[in-house]
Amino acid sequence: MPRCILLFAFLLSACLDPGAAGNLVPKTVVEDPTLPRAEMAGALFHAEAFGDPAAPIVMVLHGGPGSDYRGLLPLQALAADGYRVVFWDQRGAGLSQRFDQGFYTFDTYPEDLRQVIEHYTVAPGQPLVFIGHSWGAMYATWFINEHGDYGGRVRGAILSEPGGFTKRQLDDFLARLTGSYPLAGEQLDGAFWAGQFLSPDDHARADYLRMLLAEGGPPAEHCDPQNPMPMWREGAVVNAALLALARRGFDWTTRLGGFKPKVLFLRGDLNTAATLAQQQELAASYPAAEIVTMKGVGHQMIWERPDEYLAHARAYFASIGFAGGGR
Amino acid sequence: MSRHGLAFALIALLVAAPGVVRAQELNLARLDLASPNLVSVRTGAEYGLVADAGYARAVGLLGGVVLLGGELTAPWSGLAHGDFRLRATALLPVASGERWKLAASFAPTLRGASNDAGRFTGFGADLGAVGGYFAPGWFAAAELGLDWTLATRVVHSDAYRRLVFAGARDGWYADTAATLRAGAQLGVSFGRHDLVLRLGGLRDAGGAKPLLPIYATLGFGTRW
Repeated sequence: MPRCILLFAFLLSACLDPGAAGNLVPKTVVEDPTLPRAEMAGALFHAEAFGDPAAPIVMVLHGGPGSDYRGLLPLQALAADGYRVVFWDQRGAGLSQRFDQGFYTFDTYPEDLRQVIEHYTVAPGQPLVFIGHSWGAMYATWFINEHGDYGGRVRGAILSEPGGFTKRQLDDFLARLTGSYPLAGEQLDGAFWAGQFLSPDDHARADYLRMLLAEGGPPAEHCDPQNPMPMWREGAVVNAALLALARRGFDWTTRLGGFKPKVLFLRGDLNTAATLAQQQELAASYPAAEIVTMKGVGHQMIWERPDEYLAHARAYFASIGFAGGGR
Repeated sequence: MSRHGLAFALIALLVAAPGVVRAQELNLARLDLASPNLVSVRTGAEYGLVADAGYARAVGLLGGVVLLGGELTAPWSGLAHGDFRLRATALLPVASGERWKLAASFAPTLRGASNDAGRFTGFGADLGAVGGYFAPGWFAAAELGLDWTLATRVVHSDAYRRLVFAGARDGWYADTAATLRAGAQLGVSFGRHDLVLRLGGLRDAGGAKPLLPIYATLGFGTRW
């Protein structure tokens, strides 16, 4: 009997550790020194930038909360137009450093973004535009509501299918999003069933479980199953933390009236959660907004139709006088 | 208390009891050797929308009655691609008054899943206890349990490697999950049959909520 127990203990000790990054999920910048990184706001971020450091900045904000910028990399093409294109995984997201849920407050994320802007600023008054996708579009609006045009530096924003700028708007959006999962469907049931195999005891396991649900996206987003968007790693804890903060109530429209630059809402017509009417309601919070709808594409329009998306982005930049460096 | 502490506490409870038992849903007041065969079916929400079928047989042991059997559970959506949970079950009353009864349980478990990330095969054990008021025609009881997955073999899909993590490691992973449950059972018995509703909540041993943090099932059993 003791031999059996010893053998059993030995076999278990020879198993892989599900909580160790690099097994089920990739390592973050904390564990993998080869990843591109930036130390900002007291944290290590997975980040990289393309183009002339002194050129006008295109600040790319990924979705989630908790996802990463891998699927937004087609926007890197804007560097060839003379822009400094900045990609970064937000705090606790993608391959950036992880923090416990209690760390996050309403101040954390706006201050992070402010410090990221400062980190990549090499010239006084260097202008910038946000491209925010999904949650990233909400994040850009959160920052603009906090900081306005940031001393005249924020010249505009492209917001692709934000969920809501107030708690009520977000609740309505999430109801449409989660309601689109068929109750006994494979995607949702598969994620539930996987809960027996893995407990979210640590970041690695929690992120892995979240990716099981995230793959393919909610049905309402109508992502192309033939061309799925890649990702590195979900941040389950930051997702839960920011949703928990949102449930307390928020309104990021209170000072948007003071933001004068034109904002572009760029959406796909297949997304039945971010409908035209919903985007119109959100756009009404900005004094100057334009809505452009891409036909025949869903939520992952940047990944699925990069050329068309970039054409809309370039046209918008031209319309607001946001020219690339040397032009 | 750590996951291992909880497991050892439950194991100690079971070892101390005069037998090993599985907290199935049945009217303990009607557990006897006169109608030893029990077939049950169940459906509801428990890690997804599931269907379950089981067979158990009451056998005499050390002057008491042990219920030994097995059950197969699968999510409705996973029937086509082989998601399953297979359990060998054992149940015996631990303490028994005229109407108030307590039973504990042990169920070695093998489970499988296939999804976009890959193929999962896990083994572990479920330890539990159920206690309450059991009359011949109805019962109401509370249940507690720990579902512990000792090891899981993961074989990642090509899609996961291509779209998420090329370096994902296949193999056996140790101590991958432990889920605590607490809930209630309400049952009615008529003739040879039991109809049982289970409701409760699930928590990871660390206190976190799983994606589906509740369970609610309706089961029907018949004896002969």
